[in-house]
Amino acid sequence: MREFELIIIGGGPAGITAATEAARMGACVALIDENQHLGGKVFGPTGNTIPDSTSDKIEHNLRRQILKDLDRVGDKIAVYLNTEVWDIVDQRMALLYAKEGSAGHLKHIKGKKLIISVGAFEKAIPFPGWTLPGVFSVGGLNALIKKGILPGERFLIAGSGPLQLVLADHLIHAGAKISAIVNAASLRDIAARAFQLITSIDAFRLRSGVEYLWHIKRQKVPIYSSYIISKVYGSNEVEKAEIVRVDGLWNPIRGTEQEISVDTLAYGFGLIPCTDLTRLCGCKHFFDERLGYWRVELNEKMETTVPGIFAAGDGLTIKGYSAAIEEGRVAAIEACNQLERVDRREADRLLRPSLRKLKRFKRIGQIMDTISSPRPGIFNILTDDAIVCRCEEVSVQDVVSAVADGAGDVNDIKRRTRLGMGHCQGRFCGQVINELIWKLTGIRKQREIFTPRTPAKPVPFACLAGE
Amino acid sequence: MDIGDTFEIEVDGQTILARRGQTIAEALLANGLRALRTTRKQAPRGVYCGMGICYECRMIVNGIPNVRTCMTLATPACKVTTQDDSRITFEK
Repeated sequence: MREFELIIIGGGPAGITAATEAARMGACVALIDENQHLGGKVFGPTGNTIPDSTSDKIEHNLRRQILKDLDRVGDKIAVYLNTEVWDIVDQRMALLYAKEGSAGHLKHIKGKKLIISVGAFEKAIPFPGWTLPGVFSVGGLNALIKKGILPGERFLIAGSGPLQLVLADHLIHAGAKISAIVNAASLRDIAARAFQLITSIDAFRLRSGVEYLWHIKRQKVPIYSSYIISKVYGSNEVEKAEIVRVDGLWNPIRGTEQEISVDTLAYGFGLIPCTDLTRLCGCKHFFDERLGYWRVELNEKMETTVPGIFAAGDGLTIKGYSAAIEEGRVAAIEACNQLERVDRREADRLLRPSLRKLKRFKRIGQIMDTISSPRPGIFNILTDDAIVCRCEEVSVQDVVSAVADGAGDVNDIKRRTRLGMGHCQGRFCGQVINELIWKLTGIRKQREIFTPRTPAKPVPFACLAGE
Repeated sequence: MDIGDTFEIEVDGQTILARRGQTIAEALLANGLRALRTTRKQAPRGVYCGMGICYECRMIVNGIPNVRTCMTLATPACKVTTQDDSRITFEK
């Protein structure tokens, strides 16, 4: 077993910056990522079709810069690509699974300090038909388009959040036909936040936003505000979508349904932090009602409630790569101080500029999240035939029956229906199961989350046997 | 990044072209193949999250079932088979 001073899990903007910073201070670092490349979702490899929007250019340059910085201290960093962390033992030892075709066969590594920077994934509310091939997460479809792949002909973008506009712009550049953009937020909600947003975001983001809107308008793409998707039809793939108007609380208004002929749907309500590893480590978490997701509790130096375990990036709250970079830096400096690689005074001096920047990013993140965060009425699209748990094919009807049989809480539903026991480990159904139970029982209990289990990701049996 | 350099992969006995640097899922989608798996209840599934979280794009790759095609690079001559979950009883 190899030992390191610092193990960093997740090689996106936060992880890369943390590794670079710690290596500069002389720490012996391991950087692990499950992809074949570093960079995460935003700074991963793209095809030759990246449109030249202001944001894309800035992202491209920043990506090159942080990878170059990493390379300069690369001899001090052991990078494990294509490698999953499926368990963390005693809050110090990471159990690894190197996927087929990857070089490292190392099973366990040990670190004195840990930084978890695993990023985020899509927030989604199930609706009938959302399991059909042709329904993608907004982020997932965007990544495909950036690599030059168009997985359909007529696209519909539905849900909420700023990523809708980014995706629309990329689709337009790729020459795709967008049938409609369907946004759950009302124009009034967006306008109410617009001033706040304009006064807090970077000029280049604002410029990109205006560019996106201009391109969408020029293409005459219909935009439906205060609409959500209510159903997707198709026998083997998406053939048609039904949208419905919503009120201020996102309750569907009957009689306002419209059908749109599409073959591909991008769906999501912004992003939520990936908390499975911090939960597995026993770090304290809390549900942020305003942002609409579970968050790990941290002090301002990015340390969780478990001493020596830090977290950084969109795995905390959704603020984007600029904030992730600063958080990665803060976590690394603080970890290095604990490792006695840098004294307190010097650490504080180094921390100051990043902490100052982070204050501003926090505000932007909150504005974005409050616009995109689903409102309670949307749970009414969860009709009986909607699949809640994609992996185990558990429908709303199955949950209704379990509740009728006396199931009253999340883990009870899990035991009775297998909801949350499948391959994705409840990452999607876990987002809505509380609301569904509250709706069915009429009692709003305390919010629960599935108990974290090992392995955090499915691994071959041989891996568990430690052979 | 160089995404030129194409090669062939086999999908359910048919040959399709993939580009170096593409994942299996990307190569399939680029060729219009979107239904990649059927569930135990025989419902079709395809790529959903595209980032290794949802596990919907699992297929049989070179004889190994449950491989996330969105996380696995396409390699020359790799053999990919549509997965039927009702016929997978144990992992080999």
